[in-house]
Amino acid sequence: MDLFIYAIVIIVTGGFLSSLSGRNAILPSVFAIGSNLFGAILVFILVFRHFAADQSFAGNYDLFLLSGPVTFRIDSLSAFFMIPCAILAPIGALFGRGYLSHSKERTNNHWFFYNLLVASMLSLFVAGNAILFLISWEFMTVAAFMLTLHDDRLSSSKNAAWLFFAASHLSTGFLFLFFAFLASKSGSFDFNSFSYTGLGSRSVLILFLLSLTGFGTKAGFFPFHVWLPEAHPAAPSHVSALMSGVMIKTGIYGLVRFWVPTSSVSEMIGWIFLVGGLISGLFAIINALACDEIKKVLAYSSVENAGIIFMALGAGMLAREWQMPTVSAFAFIGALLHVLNHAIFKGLLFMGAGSLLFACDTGKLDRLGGLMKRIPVAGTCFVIASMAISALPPFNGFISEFLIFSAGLRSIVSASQSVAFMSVILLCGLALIGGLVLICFTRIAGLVFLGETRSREVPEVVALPAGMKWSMIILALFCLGAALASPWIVSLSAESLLSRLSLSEQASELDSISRLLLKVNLFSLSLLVTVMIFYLIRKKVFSGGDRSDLPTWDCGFAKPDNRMQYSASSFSRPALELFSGVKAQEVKFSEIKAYYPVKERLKVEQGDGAMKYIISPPIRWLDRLLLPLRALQHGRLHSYIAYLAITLLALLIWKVGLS
Amino acid sequence: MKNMIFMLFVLLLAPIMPGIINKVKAFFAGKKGLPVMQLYFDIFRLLRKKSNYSKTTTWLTRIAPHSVFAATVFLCLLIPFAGKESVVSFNADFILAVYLLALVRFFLIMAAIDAGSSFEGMGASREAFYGALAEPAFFSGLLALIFATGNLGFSDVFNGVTPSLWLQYPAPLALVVCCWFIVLLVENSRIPFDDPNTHLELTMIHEVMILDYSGKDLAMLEYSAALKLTVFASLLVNLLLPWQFASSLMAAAVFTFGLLLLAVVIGVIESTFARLRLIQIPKVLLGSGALGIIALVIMLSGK
Repeated sequence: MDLFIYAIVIIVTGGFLSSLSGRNAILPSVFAIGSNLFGAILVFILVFRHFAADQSFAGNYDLFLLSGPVTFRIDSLSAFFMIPCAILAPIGALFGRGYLSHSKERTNNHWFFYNLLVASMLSLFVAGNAILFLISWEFMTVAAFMLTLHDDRLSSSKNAAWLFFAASHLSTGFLFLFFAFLASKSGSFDFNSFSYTGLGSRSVLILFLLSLTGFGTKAGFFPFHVWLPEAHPAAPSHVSALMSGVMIKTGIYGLVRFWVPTSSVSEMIGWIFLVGGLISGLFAIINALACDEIKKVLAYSSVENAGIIFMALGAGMLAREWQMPTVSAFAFIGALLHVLNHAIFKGLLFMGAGSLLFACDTGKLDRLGGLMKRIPVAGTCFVIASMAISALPPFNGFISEFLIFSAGLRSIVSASQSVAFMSVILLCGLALIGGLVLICFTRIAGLVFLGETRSREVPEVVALPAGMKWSMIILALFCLGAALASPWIVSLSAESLLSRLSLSEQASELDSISRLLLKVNLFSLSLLVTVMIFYLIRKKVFSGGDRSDLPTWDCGFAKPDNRMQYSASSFSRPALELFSGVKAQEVKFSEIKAYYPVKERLKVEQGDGAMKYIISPPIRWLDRLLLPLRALQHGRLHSYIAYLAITLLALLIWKVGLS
Repeated sequence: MKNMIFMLFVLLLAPIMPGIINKVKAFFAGKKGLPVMQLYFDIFRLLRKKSNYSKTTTWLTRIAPHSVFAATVFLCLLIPFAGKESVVSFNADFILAVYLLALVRFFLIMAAIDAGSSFEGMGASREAFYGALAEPAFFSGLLALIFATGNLGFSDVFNGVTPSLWLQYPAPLALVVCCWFIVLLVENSRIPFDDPNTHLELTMIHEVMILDYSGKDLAMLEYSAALKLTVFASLLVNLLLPWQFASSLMAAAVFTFGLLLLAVVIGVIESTFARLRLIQIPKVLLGSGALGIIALVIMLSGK
């Protein structure tokens, strides 16, 4: 446990040092990278010790400001959720050093808040009581808010930060209610003393809905995801990577910790997760297809991946309630591995998008193109990450989706009607989402990095600093490495993780899961090696006389123009037309009815249907309802003093009257 | 060993399938038509030629034919052919097979976009879209089959499809056959979804995506397309001809007969159907997904 405290202290101190290191150009980022790396290594040692030696750590610390003790406790869940954070934090800092190098502003405070964000997320995962949890939650929110405001001259960035702030506090409010209720029932803020026994299933369900709103807002659960596609793109790219890769997972972590272990309404929750996850996933990926800004696409895709994780968790809970432990184990392990894998490839994707912003100063899909030749490292890494997120073998995304799909296929073997219903939702839903993800990522990877540029003049491209390149290469290797390591991760951690989710699975079953993963890995790795060897032979032996100095043939079209290439909006149009009911796009234009040409406009607006139809109306209504209260706030000091006096008097009367 | 030989046999046989389809189409059109072995000649001719690349293209265009070819051959390792056993099999190998197909699609799409032309971009966009809809349809048929046989791998499932299973669930299995047949037609860009003879604007999907390939690369892509068609046809043949044979020669003969017959059926459909309007295709695909689910529902309610 001391190791963990050291890690936190190192990271926070690193943040302070970089904020104090003045105008020096190098020191702040060196402090940030060093402290994050050091902290991450300590966390890795801790996690490894936990899983290998099956040690649990706990510690109570009295902080003089708080009335009760602050409890840190590391169990398998906290240890597992810390891994993505420990991977992304140092690599993100390395990337950020390069990324911020061309901004003229000082980066001291940026690094301070970056380290604060990392430290608060780590301590959130190990919080053993509600007080520490909420404190970390708030620190995380504030740090992320400040980081989002990095480009505070842009009004879009300010708006996004505000939306994030409002959404986060709304979610914190619900969490306060949730924790307060549980604490008042048990008389302690310690998580171990919380329990739902003795509550009617209706009040348990209400508690669940409270925490679903609270945690779900962070996790991007439909329809509470609306802040996410605004805020994640506004932050600097390495911060977006951390927000999408790790911060979303804090919401999932909360729901997993409090609701996935058995309760009286587990079946109901399972259905809510499964169907809600499907809706989140489909809705988000369709919206991602409509976006024309690369980081926004990535943010929506994070919502979609959270949806997949929720679907898997829901299927696992249902299977557990229906006494199908093997199916449940597959689904739970798949969900947890997806938490890890998503952090890796989404971090890489955001860094790739950051490279675009760095090199060309724009993320607009319809203006980019042909960048593979200009920034090859970023392009290649982005293609690898796109393959990983589209769940293509041999990369890590495939492993987790393979487990989730297997859960669905296994459940159908012994199916009753509700089981079959679950399998159909899980499998057909995942397959449809998977297909749409392939459209989405061939669209952004292909149209940004391949072909020729789509703007009229060839844009200037800035070379990437080494730090950015290396951080992307490391994460790309992680995409393959996490897949290869998956059998080992399963055999090391699955047993204690599953027992934490009230599923005691036979060790032999888990063995067979990791052997299955080994087979899959062997197969896809040999495919990779075959392609490599085959390609090398072709290149060395059979490439004599090949020419690569010709224009694109294009059916013999004589004068191809760059602007004739297929564009991002045309690429996704067929799919968007089919799903036009989701209202991802609004096209405004009136048909020309006259016989002769007249001027006409076409306006395509990208908007989030959930924001427009679900979130905004009640907020507007609340706004109208509360409008009269503004009369109380008028700026006249003497009336404010009168308010104070009235309040004090009222309190006095209440107190006296009571006694 | 036996399964390996069956697989090699299919690898050799694959280019004949498009040949038969074209022969049938020529017969309907009252023409003599190309020789059945035409694709073999084409591939050998192309293999002797050199490849040209546009200067727009990157490493993706160069590596794509190799990946497509290798992934399709690796896919064959998972698919049961004449002996109803595949070379490699494990639990839930379907998923790996589906994602190998997705890998093939990924590289084809990326290579098509790489050429930087609107023709190929359009083909890529449609391929991606129809692929996204075909995947759930394939899974819905698969779910019904897994439920009917209670098995979790290609080999086990097709060993489980016996004549008695057909007698037990005639309607659901027929629905699965319909569902997968539609998936076959769309995944292999056949009429009524795409016209493989043209790469003109109205029909361009697969043919237009490989427009800028030449020489050895084109040979690999043409071969992989034929092989993919054969793989899908093999799945259907294994469903439709459920008998087991003691002698492998007999099994191979019946299997080959089934494959060739299926090629004739595809040819007849191509000759007698018009290509669908593009707007109609998603409806047909979603409908085919529904067929698999209906099959499942019928079996569940009969339980």
